[in-house]
Amino acid sequence: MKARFVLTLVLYFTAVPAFADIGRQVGLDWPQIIAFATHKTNYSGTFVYQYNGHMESARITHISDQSGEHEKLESMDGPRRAFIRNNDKVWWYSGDRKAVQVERRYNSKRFPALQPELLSALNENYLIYTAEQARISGFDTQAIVFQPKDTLRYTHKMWAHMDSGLLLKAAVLNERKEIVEQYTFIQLNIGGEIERTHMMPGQSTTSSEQQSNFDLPAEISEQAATSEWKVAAVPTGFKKIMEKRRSLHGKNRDVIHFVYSDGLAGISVFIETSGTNFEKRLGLSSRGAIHVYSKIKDDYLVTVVGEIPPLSVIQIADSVRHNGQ
Amino acid sequence: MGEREVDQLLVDRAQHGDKHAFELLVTKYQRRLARLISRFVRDSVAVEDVTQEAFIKAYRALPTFRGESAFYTWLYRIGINTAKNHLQALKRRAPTTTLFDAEESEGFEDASLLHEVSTPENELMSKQVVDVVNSSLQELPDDLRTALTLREIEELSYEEIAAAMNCPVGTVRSRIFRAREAIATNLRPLLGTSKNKRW
Amino acid sequence: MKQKISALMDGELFDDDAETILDKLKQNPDMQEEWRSYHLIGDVLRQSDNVHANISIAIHKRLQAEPTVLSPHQRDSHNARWLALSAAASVMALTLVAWLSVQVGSETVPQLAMRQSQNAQPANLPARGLDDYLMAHQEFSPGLDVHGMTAYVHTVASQQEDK
Repeated sequence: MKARFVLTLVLYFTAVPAFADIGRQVGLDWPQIIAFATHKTNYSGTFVYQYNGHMESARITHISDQSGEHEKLESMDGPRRAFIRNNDKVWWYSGDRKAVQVERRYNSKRFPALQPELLSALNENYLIYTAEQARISGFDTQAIVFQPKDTLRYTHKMWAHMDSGLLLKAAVLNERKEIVEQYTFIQLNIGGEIERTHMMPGQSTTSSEQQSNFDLPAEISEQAATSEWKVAAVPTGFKKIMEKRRSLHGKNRDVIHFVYSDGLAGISVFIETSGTNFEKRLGLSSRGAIHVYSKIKDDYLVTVVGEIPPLSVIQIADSVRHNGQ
Repeated sequence: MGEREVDQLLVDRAQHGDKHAFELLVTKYQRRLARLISRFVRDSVAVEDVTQEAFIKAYRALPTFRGESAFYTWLYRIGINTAKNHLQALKRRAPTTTLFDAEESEGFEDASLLHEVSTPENELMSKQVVDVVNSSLQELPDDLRTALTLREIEELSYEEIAAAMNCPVGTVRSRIFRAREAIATNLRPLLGTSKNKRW
Repeated sequence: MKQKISALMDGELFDDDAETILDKLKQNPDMQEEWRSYHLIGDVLRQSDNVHANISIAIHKRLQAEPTVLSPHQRDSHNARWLALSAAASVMALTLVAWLSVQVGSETVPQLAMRQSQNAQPANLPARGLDDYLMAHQEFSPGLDVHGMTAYVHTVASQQEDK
């Protein structure tokens, strides 16, 4: 039995160029194509987002031109909420309280190509292979599966438009192949002229009179977090991509923010003094594939956010140590 | 228990913190893995580095191995990925390398000597080991040679070999052992003298 | 003894025998010579054109520097503590899974599959309290590379359920 396996494997590699993939396994082409399409294509459409038994729809418009990337994401159900992005600036509109928060996107330079580190992490942690071809919203798509090599992360399945590479559908599945969350485009226009005025209603609110109502931008200081904190149990395959002291909640209070990535999923660990966080909810909260777990550790509040299974999030939070302990 | 179960036994031990058990797996699979990796990576020095790297990665990833596939398929997968990463890293470095091509080619001969594996002495050793094993095999009595060949090359179980050779399983077991021990006896002077037990 | 090592390599020993031999191998490094040379013989017989050198010594050195791994997936049935722990963990996992998802055949529409024990439910994300964390997280998450702004849907969607 084993002899046959080894022989087949060896013959296969002898017969094909060294870079060829095993069976239906695909290389890193698809992730590259998808990332490129996401950031370099003009499109507008409506998608349905499903999670935890909920279903909501949202509209997205994306324009890429000489001046960069501009996009808008707005909820179509309930109170109006929207994100508008102009290159590395993100505005957050929350309709009911007329407040606008500004998030500064930190590392937007990485687009459109995926970083080599990210690609090799993807390759290490997931088996990437093509699945069925399907028609979604009138487009022919190819399904690509990112199957983790362990149980520490979720399976991701994406349906990419064969011509443009845009994602028409994406699902996150747990170990039992149950869907944790998914979004599906129900309508999509690709390419051509996208109506700009339609897209940027928020432009006017970025005028100076509104500006004064803004919360302070969540600036990220250049100062790296001191290594006084240690996250002892980061799941295998996750690499630290950032460690910063930054402000959050629009206040001048420092939060230490660690970010880890396995190429597809991210984990953030936030550590702050717990004093004024009386309103914060402790324990586990979830939205689709994102889980948040908060706990008090001595005088500090530790919050872990990640697109990973809930048990992993809890384990990570429990492993946060103050150095010297 | 079959060979796969022995691997699982060793994996279980390693997962309980027994590094030595993992080293037995290294001894067992190192050449098979190196051979697989050499399908991707041409340079023999790099093959050795990548193979080492793959084993270290496998060790670190051991907690995630759940025994659903055979250990060697899991290990091979890590080996293939490590080899591909190595090639990708080479590709990324390529532009820089061409800038220094002239210098590098001058120093090339010296550099290759730094790695023991590519020295003529090692190639000679490799050839000697192969010669000793093959000639010892030929000198073996027929039934010992057949039993060992069926086991190592055809990878039959003792029971299958017993059926093929029309003898009890206990006899197969002793023939295979005697064959191995006879060859190993001839190998020992060679292995004993080789520095750092490179073979 | 050597004969048992030979049989162990081939997977032809009974379980308890195998454990005994492995214990002895560990205690007595000299006996590893057989394990090493017998495997070398097998490797040469299978692939005589290109025999790679023994790198187990180099790996041994590197392994000494590695933190010892301990697997959470313990099979050891003698160890009651592990069993108890993993049982507790799976009860927890079951509760979470029951709440989270979305029991679907393969990939149909996720349905409402909530309502298990009230206490075990993770809270739905409150609209305000955790948005800051979500947004700060999304800024850096690799999901942004692949999904673009669609990744922010987690925050956009958070308003509704709390109202």
